[in-house]
Amino acid sequence: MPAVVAFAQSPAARPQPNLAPATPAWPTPAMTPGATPEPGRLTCRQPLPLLEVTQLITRQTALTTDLAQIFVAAVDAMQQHLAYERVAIHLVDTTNQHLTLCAAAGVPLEQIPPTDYHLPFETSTPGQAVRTNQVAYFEHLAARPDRTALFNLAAPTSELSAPIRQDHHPVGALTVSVTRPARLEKADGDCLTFLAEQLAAAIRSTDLYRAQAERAARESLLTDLSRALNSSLELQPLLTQVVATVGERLKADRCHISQVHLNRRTVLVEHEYLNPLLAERRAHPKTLPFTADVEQMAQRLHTGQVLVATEQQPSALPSSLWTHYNRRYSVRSLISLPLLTGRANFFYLLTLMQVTHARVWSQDDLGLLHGIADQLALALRNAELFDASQRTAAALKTKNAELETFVYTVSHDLQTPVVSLNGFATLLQKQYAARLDERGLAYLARIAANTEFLNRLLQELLELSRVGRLEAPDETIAVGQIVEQTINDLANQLAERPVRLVQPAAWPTVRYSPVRLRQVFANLLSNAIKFMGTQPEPVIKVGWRPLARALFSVPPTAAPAQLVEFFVKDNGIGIAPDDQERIFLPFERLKKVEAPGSGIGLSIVKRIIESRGGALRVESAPGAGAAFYFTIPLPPEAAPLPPGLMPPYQEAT
Amino acid sequence: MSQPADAQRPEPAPAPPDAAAQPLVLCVDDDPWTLKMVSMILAHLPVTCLTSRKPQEAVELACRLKPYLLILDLVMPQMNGWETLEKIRAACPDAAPRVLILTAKDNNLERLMAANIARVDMFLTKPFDATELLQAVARLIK
Repeated sequence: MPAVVAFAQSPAARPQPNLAPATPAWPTPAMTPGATPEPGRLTCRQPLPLLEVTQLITRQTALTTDLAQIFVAAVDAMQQHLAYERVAIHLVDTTNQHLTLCAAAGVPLEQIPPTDYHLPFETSTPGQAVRTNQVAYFEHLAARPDRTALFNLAAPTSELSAPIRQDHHPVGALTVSVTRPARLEKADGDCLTFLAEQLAAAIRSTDLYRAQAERAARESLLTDLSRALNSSLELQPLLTQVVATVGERLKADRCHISQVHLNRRTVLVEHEYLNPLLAERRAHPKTLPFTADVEQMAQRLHTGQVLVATEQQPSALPSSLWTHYNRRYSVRSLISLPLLTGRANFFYLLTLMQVTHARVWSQDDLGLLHGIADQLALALRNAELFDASQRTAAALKTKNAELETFVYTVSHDLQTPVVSLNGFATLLQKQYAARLDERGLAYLARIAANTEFLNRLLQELLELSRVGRLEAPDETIAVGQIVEQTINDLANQLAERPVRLVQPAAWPTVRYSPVRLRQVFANLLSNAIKFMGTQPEPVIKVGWRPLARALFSVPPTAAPAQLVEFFVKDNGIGIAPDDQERIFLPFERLKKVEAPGSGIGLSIVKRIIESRGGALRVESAPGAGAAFYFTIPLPPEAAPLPPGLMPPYQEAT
Repeated sequence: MSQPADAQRPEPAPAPPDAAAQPLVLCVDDDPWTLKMVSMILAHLPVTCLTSRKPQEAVELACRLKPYLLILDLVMPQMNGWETLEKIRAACPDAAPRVLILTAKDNNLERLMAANIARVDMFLTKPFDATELLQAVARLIK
């Protein structure tokens, strides 16, 4: 990242402008205004040539962002149009030790001695102009040890120099030199001051343009980095990607991310990027010894401090570490940024190293680096959270799979002895009934009943674990038929205590598994019958309605869900609010109720419904019956329903 | 963990048919790693690359071998880049190589000096982009 030119200098280093007005040794003008010019008189006092030069400088400033071109055009124009023999522009060096020649006209470049490239402040006219912050004039009539003429010319010359100012402080000088007997006058001083202002404007304009271009480059880097970071949530690939992107875009020779565990006293380096052209390719060691000074450095970094070490100033880094980097990898400068993700004893560290030169990071660069560090820390935090959630999910999945297998295996294995029990109990009942007395027969009946119950329980357990597994393909079914079949199956139970069943006039057609749908209705209806209690007029109502409901899903889907909602309502004993969630859990049977059943039915129904994208819910109050609602999604090819549709239920009255 | 070195380095350029006909590029820098990098990059162009860590030696080489292009660093301990350039131009004016400045110093002053006074052909800053350097040199040797 190129360093921006430092024109803002610290007050202490700046040459102190002498604010007392200096009296330059002006030669008194030998003619009154309007008289014909004498030979050797310069044309600066005539407005037109000055206007031309000004126009030229302004046009160049508008057309180009290359300061060199603007300066060259300016000095050449001044030499031609204003008849100054020699023109030069100097700028103050960044070290503030001298003035550097930046453009010259009137002297062939080969004839300028290199010593003239840098002028001291004390013995030159431009130096005097900068020192005093005023126009400086000097006549070199004879060689003097304390003054040197511009370009070290031997001939007698007059020199005039105007300071180029930025924010009222001198940053350079515009100097003209003429050979005697040509003379320079006060008007020339004004003219030079005016032109110096034009040059200052050009400097400001090019600096602004440059700063803007650099800012745009930094923003583009941050955007690209952000895009690269968002592409992945996985921790390890993210770190590899980050280290390569940052190293490459910031043109670092080496870049690595370390993981610092303060309590475990380890520093781990697993991700490193090397500039592909770098010949020194020895890899960074995987771990660093956690000595006392490394620990101290780590503690400082943990507070958020940035660490900078260069070959001139390596003290920020523990000396053993710097020696290692400098001797082994020829590192000449290094910067380390902590990436804090909020963990108490752990942080990441991004380190950029330069081998080809002792890189200096400007203020703007540091701002960029901080921005990068913040983005990285955020991305790493997200990746850590995702990683943790993934591991939890994986553990849960394994656990679930184990449980399901267990349930299935156990139920399966228990079937054989149960079948045997059942078989022999039945045989006993059939073949030895005559030889048993009443009590014996009663015992046998109890055995048979319980075996039957055990058998059914195992069947339902198997069913529960099977619901999540092999599924029959969906078919287009008329729900009416399914309901009819279910009612037929339950005919006995319905007849036992005359339950009135109320059905709608018409049923919809859906795409579902017929077996499963039958199970759902069978379970809900038999539950409704079971939990009628002492209701004198038991009624069970069934019905349905279409629904179009918007779902909040990720990613958001534009189309609302098309559903059919069915219900099974009874006017039995109802379910207390506290129990309404528990009933869907397997093996939860409400203790207060005396009713046969294994307690698995509702959990099977819930699993069937939910595994196909539906939902099951209950509305009930004790003594007021219970209503179970479940939804079946309509196939996508069904005609779309208007959104928010909440028509009345289709039910018979 | 380091990348496998072979996968990272660009393949070396095939042997030039006639080394004498290729333009000579003289690269002067006090840092050996920069010199290595530049020679690796220039291996992709039809040039012969010569490197030197000592400015004095570079002056002699320039006068003797008359390189087509000079790649010069500015910050060198014994003699800085401007002095080296000046010495080369003074010692053998007929050599007149094209000059590309490759330096970590990037400010208005150096650029202005480079463009207007020393009249160099190109000014690149470190850390440099390999593609940029390649394109710059390709343009200069055309």
